[in-house]
This record gives sequence, C-alpha cells and structure tokens, in this order.
Amino acid sequence: MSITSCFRYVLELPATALNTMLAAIIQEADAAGVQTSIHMPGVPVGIYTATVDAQVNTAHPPTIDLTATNLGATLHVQMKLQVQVNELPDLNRIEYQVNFDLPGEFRKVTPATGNPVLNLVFPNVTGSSLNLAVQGGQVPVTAALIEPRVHALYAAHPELAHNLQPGVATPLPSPDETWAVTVDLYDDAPGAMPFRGRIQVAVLDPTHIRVDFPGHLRAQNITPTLRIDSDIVVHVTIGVQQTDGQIVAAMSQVTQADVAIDFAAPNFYTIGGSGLIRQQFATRIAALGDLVQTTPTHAQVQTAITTALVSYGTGLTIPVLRPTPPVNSGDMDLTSFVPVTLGSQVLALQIEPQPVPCDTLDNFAGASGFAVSVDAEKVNSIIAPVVAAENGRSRNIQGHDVDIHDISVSLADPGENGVAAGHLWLTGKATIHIDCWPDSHIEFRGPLTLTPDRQTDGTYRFQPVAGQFSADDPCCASADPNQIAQLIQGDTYPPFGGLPQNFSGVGQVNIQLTSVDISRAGFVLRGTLAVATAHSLHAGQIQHNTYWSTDHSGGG
Amino acid sequence: MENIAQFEPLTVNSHRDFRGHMKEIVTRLNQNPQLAKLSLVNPVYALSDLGVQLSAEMKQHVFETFHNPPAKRRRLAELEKEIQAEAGKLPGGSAISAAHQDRTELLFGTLKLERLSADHGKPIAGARLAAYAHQHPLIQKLVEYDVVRRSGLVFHTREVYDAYKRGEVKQQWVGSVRFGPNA
Repeated sequence: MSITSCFRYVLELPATALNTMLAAIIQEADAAGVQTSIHMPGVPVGIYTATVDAQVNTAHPPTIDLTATNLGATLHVQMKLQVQVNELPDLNRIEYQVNFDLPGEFRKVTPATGNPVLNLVFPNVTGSSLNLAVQGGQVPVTAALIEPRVHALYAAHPELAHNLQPGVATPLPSPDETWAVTVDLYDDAPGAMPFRGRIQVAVLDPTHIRVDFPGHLRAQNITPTLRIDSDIVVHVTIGVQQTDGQIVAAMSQVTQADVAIDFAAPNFYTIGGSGLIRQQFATRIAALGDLVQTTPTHAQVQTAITTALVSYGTGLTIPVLRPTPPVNSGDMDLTSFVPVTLGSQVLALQIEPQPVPCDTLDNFAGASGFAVSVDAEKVNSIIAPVVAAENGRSRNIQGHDVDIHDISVSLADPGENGVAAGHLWLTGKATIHIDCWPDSHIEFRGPLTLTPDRQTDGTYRFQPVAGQFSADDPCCASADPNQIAQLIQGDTYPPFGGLPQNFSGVGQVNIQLTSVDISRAGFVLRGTLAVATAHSLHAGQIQHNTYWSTDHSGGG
Repeated sequence: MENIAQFEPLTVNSHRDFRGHMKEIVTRLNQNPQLAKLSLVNPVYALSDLGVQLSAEMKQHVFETFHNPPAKRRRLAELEKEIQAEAGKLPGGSAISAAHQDRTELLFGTLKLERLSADHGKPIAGARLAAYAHQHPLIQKLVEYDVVRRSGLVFHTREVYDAYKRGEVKQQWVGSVRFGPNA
C-alpha cells in the first residue's frame, strides 16, 4: 500500500466531500452548466400524451455514493415532477415527488484546447436502474374538469331545459290542488342575449361536488290559479369516486336529500311543495346516469416518468473538477490528475505522475473529511533548503553563541525512535561558547511534528513543533527541546501551494488543513473542505451558503 | 544514574581557582558523560558531583554566566534598538507592549496583516506570533526578542536534578555533551 503510489500527490475526496461539492454545484447549476430541470412534451401516457416537467428539489440536493466498480458512482436524486395530460386541458397538472438513482461514472475529458475536466456522466441509465419511487399523483377534482361534462349532458337532454308536468298530485286536501308544473333550466353561453343563467360546478371537498342549475318554476292548479312563479336555483350535491384511471361523479346516487332549491320569490306554496319538487329533481338527475372521466393510470404515468428520467439521466453531465494550471512554479499541478476510486469510499485524484513503480493506493482519507498526500521526494525538497540554511550557522540559543552543524532531518514512521506518531527525526550538533568555560559540544536528536498554517494567499507553511512528551517524561530537561526546535522553527519553510480553490466553477473552495501525518512515505495533510458558492459570495452571505465537509473521524 | 565515581575534592573560591582547576574539571566531565549531560540541568550540582565545591560567590558567578550571559545581554540590547527603530516608523508612536491584546492590535490593527485562519477570533499568544514573523520585520524581531529574553540555562532544583540523575526524567533531546576544544 502506498500513500502516493507513482504520483507526487494524491488528493482524496470521500463521499461526504463529494456531496459538499455537489450541493454547491446544484445551487450554482447555471454556472456549472448542470441541467437540473426537465421539460418533455408529447410523452405517451396510455391513450393520452403528456407534457412532463420536473425540477431537482434544491431543498434536498442530490447525493452521491461511490460503487465498488472503479470510478463508478450512483447519484441519488429527488425531483418535483408535474404531468400535464395534453388531451385533458381541464385536468390540473398532476404533481409527484420522485426519488431515483442514476448509475454513473467519473470520466476525465481532455478537450482539444483548454484544461482537462473530470465529469460525472450517466451513459447507461435504464428504467430498471432508476429504482424509481413515486409519491403523490392524486388527480385533482376541479370544477373545470367536471363542468364541461355537465354542459354536454344538458345539451344532450333537452327535457332538462323545459319540462311540463300537467297533473302533479300535491298533498293538499282539495282536488283543485292537482297542479301543472313547468320547470325551465338554463345553461346559456356566457355573453348570450338574453342571459338567463348558466350551470356551475363547485368542488365541495375531494369527494363531493355541487352542481347549481339556474331556472324558473311555474305551478298552477286547475282553477287555474298561479301558485308559484319564481326564478330558482337548484343545488345538487353529487358524490365523487376516484379510482386508478377514472373519476366518477355518481349522479345516479342522487336522492331528495342531495337537492336544495332557492326560490327568488318564496311563498306559502313553495314552502309546502319544496319536498315534492326536490324529489322530482332528484329522480330526474339520477335517471341521467353517472358522469365518468377517464384519467391516466398510475402505471401509465410511471412509465411516462421513467421515459423522461432515462432521457434526462443519459444526457446529464456534472463537472466535478475543472482544474487550472498552477500559478506558481512548484505548486501542485491539478491538471495532471488521474482519477481512481477506492473501495466505494473515496475518489482519489492522482496528481503529477512519477517515474517509479506504482503500488496499490491507500485509502488514507477515511470516510469523511479531506486529505492530500505528498510523496517523500517532495517533502524532502521542502525540508532540504531549511536544513541546508541551518547547517554551519551561528545562532544564539539560550543566550549563548552556538554554532550549529551536522544537522539532518529524516522522515520517520510511527513507532520509530520510540515515538508513537510519525515524525521528522532531527539530529545535529551544537557547539556552545560560554564565557570562562570550555566549549560545550552537544549532540542532539529528537522528533518534530508539524502544524499547517494557512497563509492569506491560500498556500500553507508548516510550523515545526518539538517533541513527544509524556507526563512522566516532561519537557523540562535542561536543554529545552523547544529551544532546540527553534533551530528549525525559526526558519521559513517554502510555502506549499496548489491546493484546489475552484472545483467546478461554482464558487470558492476553502480547504483548511488541520493536521499533518508524517511517515517515511511522505505527508498526509488532513482537513476540511468548504465551498462558498458564487451566489453567496455575491450576496455577501457566505455563512448561509457554505457547504462544509469536516473530518470528524480523524482520518483513516 | 549509576556508577558515579568518587572524586578528590577541588575547592573553588575564586575565578582564579576556577581557571586553575579547569583542565581537571574538563577531564572529569568528559570521563563522566552522564554528569556532563547533567551539567545542563544544573551545572553547580554537576560540579559538586564531580568533587568541585564552589563558594557562594562562585556559584553566583556560574549562575550569571550560564543564565544571563553576555551574548544574551548584548543581543537583547541590539534587539531593543532595532525594535524601537521599526516601531518608530509606525503611526501612533513607538510603544510596544507584550500583552496579548496589544500584540493582536499591532498585528491586525496597526500593521494590517491578514489573520491566519488558525487564529480567527483569538488573541495572539506568544507562540503564535512566530507564524507571522515572515510577514513583517518588526514581528520577526519581536519573536526573536521574546525567545532571547526567555532564554538562559535554567538551574533546576536539587529535587529535579536528582530525578534526572536517577534516570527518572530523561534529557530527551540531548545525545551527549563534551567539553573542550577537540570534542
């Protein structure tokens, strides 16, 4: 296993860090060039066609899992989706929430001009690979959906418009109270002259509608004496039943109790005859039969959604990394990256190939956080000038003139030199000149660890820290280790630069290195990664739109 | 520490005595590397273990020589002048305080250096000042001044010296100590 294999650097991004970046990419989809919506007209839905619209749910941005296959990844997406049946314009859009998977792969693309890009693409999406889960899909019952069918019914049944019943027996005691009843119902087109009224439908609740029939009622007895002569509105409440594929307004079930009549000119006779008149209406409405509206079935809609999502997925490209050449000579050249995934946990970007045998790459980032490894050759090139500058130098240590010589610094694995953690092993000699005292020649050696300090230009400088001391072995020896460490601490290390600052053109990537693991193989720098999106930077609301991925595990 | 030899006593009452016995003292030190290392813990006790008995005046002399040597005094004086010269270039006077809050104000208020991410929201304590040393010559000198001021060999107590001597405490960074021109 190796922390760099045959590369100078390896930058490892666990799924948590990838999801951090993905959230920022989705928020800045336009800048990143990522399609986050669907508009597909003419999708077959059973006997109909539909227009399918969908949008990525930004409240639940997509997440990614790496798969066991090298460079394989699965994107989990939640979308809000609407289906409009084209042939049923009065049917409201049917709303869904869909969760689905897009199996994909990381793919490095090197354009003819410009820098290489690491894309996440999904060329092999199929209906079954979507693992589609659909929620919602309630077909809304609306007045607009029912009303045209009631108008058609009226037109198809002229007896509704004008009805004369010459011998209606009333419950009144006199034979003279056998009435002739004339009922006219109106369904005039808007703007008609004269306009007497138009049938209207109201949705009372998801299972009931009310149809209002405007009209006029005349009733006279044999004498003949006009008993009732009034404009009316007949209100009929009708139950609605929804099943998969159809909506039924159960007019056949209408009874007297479902009918109410408003008389514009009520009198003694309208009150007395109301029940009789309502019964008449209920019987006539029930005789018309049910109103039935077919709708797409759930299976038909799911097929349509699948068609739309497969088309969306196969065309989707998410640019994960858009590196630019290093600004400073010697900085990490991200454009040389070679991607690989490790055990479905980490996306590793191997950077700057080296002419050495390759080895199996170690997953040093673990499950979370961010980590980058630096090979021993590069580390030594950082240390060497510091050591060279120190050797042969006269310093003032502990108030005495000291000549420093024979300094060497080497990388050491954990456990070496009796030190549990990996470290830099420092050895050297110091000749101390003390008045009235013979020169003291001290051979010293000890471990150094490093603390990364982020500079304002985004580069890092390493601050050495001397010693590993236990409670039983405190750092209060006469030659204070921290004083000796200042041989190195006081010097300025070359900055370490080139860490990515912009992955996909969506904003500023902030990488905070928090620790350095040292071994003979080199360094592993660990830390956190955050993306301040361009939108948030523009709005000055970084704190509200910064996506953090933090190394909680302490690394692998 | 085991097997410390018994030595013929040497009495040192003056600087002249000291110089007179120096060759023998160096020989004893180099022949007893453990005591040579212990001379860095407390040279007076180490000399005593080598049979060298110092008078009170000479003990004070050794303390001054080791703890507050001329090189230290000289460098502190130089640094004070250099710091005053650098501070004089700053707006608002030349007073430099060692208080953390004042150092923080100096860094980010007066010099307008950019705060490193590791220091956000914190006053800059002594050790962290070094992280800014390469950004401004005044800070570089202040860091060195603090280091030199705190320097000087510490004369540990008898209890601590004996702990080292028994090997209960180790001199982590010191491999060996030899004395004289040809070590």
